[in-house]
Amino acid sequence: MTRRPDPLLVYAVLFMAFLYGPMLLMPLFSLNVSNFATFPLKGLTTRHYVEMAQNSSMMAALWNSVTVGLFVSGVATLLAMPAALGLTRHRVPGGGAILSFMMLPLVVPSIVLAVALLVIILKVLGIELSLRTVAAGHVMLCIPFAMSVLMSRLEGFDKSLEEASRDLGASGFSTFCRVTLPLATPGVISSLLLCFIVSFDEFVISFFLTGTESTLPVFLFSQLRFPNRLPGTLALGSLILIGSAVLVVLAETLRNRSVASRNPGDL
Amino acid sequence: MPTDPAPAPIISMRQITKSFGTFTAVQDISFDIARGEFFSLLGASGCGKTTLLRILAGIEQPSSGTLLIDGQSMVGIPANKRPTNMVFQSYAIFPHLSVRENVGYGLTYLNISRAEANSRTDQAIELVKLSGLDQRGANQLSGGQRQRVALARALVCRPKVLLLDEPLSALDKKLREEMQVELRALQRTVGVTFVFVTHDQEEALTLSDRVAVMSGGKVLQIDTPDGLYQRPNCREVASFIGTMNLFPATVLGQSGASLSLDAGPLGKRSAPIGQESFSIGQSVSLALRPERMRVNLNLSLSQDQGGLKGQILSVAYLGDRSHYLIRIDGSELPVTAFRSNAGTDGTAPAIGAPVHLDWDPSASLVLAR
Repeated sequence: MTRRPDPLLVYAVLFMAFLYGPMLLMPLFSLNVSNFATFPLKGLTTRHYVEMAQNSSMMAALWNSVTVGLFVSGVATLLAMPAALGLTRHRVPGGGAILSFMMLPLVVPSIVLAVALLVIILKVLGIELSLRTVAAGHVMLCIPFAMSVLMSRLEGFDKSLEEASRDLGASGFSTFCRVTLPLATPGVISSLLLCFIVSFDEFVISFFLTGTESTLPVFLFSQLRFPNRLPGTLALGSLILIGSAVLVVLAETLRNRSVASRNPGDL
Repeated sequence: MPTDPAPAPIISMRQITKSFGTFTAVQDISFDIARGEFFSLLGASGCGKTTLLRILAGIEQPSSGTLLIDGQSMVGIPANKRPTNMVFQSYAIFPHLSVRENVGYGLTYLNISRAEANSRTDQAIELVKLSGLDQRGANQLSGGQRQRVALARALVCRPKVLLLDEPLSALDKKLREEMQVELRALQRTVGVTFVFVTHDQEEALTLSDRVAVMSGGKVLQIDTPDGLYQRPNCREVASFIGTMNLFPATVLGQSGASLSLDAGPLGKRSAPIGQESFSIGQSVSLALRPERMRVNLNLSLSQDQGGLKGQILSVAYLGDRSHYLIRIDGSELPVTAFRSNAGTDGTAPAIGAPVHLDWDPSASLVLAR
């Protein structure tokens, strides 16, 4: 008698294939000898990776994206921290409304933001488009992400810890450095990672606000016109995929470890 | 004032009120706490006792009123500049620091040398019997150990007043009783004024020199444990502290040091005059502690002794004593009476058995309704 497969298992496998199948095609085609992303594969080669590394404009775009991403994650987290502290630690009049406004960039279509920012930057402020304007746009986009990550972390630990620190003689700033920040560290790291990924991945705002130097998504889009450059793009995409997977696993591990040692109250 | 013979109180509160929006948490609180006293704030949850403690600590600022600690006004002084330290209900042990780092936390803000800070930390850890655990993380401690860390961390700063917010409520019964004894001994050793918040009346009576009973943001009565038990000033205190039988009665008149009352089915009764004065015809409560009731189960001997006739509704046997619930003939309200089992043959009376109930007039109290 053959066992009938568990329908739930079948569903799970199909679900994963649907989610990750297309992504896994990318590393596969990046190793293909042919320039065209079609089956059957003509043979395996690492030629595209070598070509990619030699493609200086692609490497420049990658570097642009990394620097913008690092800057944006740092600035957005730094700006979101005091706001998150204020909204979680004090009774702010109209706090709910303030929070909704801060979360607005999450729901406003990025095309609307991009056009509005373009008009402001060019017509109102009269600033030339560059990577700096892209970074500014990304900071705006990232603040809600940073806020929600930091606020959930700050709400997650006992407020009496900070009260105890004040009671023992610490000033507000000293309490922040010795109690709040160490306990919020997993949240800060999550916020940095999330903001970096959002910025690194962002296309619409980058496309509108970019000057002569472009970020990676904008550069890749411009390369789609040239079929022979596709395998190089696929090679880079594969490397980014591996890089993101490592980052996500790292972030999750950090988060789980902090959850395990979080609670001061129970036991 | 040099002419005042009484030493100045360590804490002096005058007309302290705290409102959160439209909700008044504490209202018009005025009293003093003496130096070296073990003082408890007792009340049901939501009575404002924790808010008052947080006002003393400086975590909350009063909406109005004045607070002096050791003669100095605390208006506008934040928690970190006050000579008070607090043991939090959740203990608030810093989870990212070791026991030693937790205990020594406050010493960084005192103007003392590192060597002194180290020796004071050692002393404090020894005082709460945690020697050998000082490198442990906060997550490796049991509930009782956390509590000791919280105590050591607060005491190491040598506060003038130690504030304790229900520090024993998270512990199991046996550990709680052990900690009560230790806490009292510790207070005698260090001689610091303790202000202790609790909802457990037994705990408050066991530990305290004086207790303030709070309800609805107000202080109902401040007295010694014995005073609260023997001379409650209102029905609320009477029924919160221990068990109290309360019978409706009317004042008939006054003769000498006693009031005569008409207590309905309980007949005409006399009771000593307390601090309050009552007018003739006023509705009052006649209050009687269950252990002051004389329960006579052996009716053949006491047929002529008078007293009130009744039946036993239920008996709870507690070993050394039994608790009886008795219905007095003609009265709806059941009466609780405690009776020592010393000298009885141990056989429990049957439910419904007739009894006689009596008490000394001096054991009763008259309270306003």
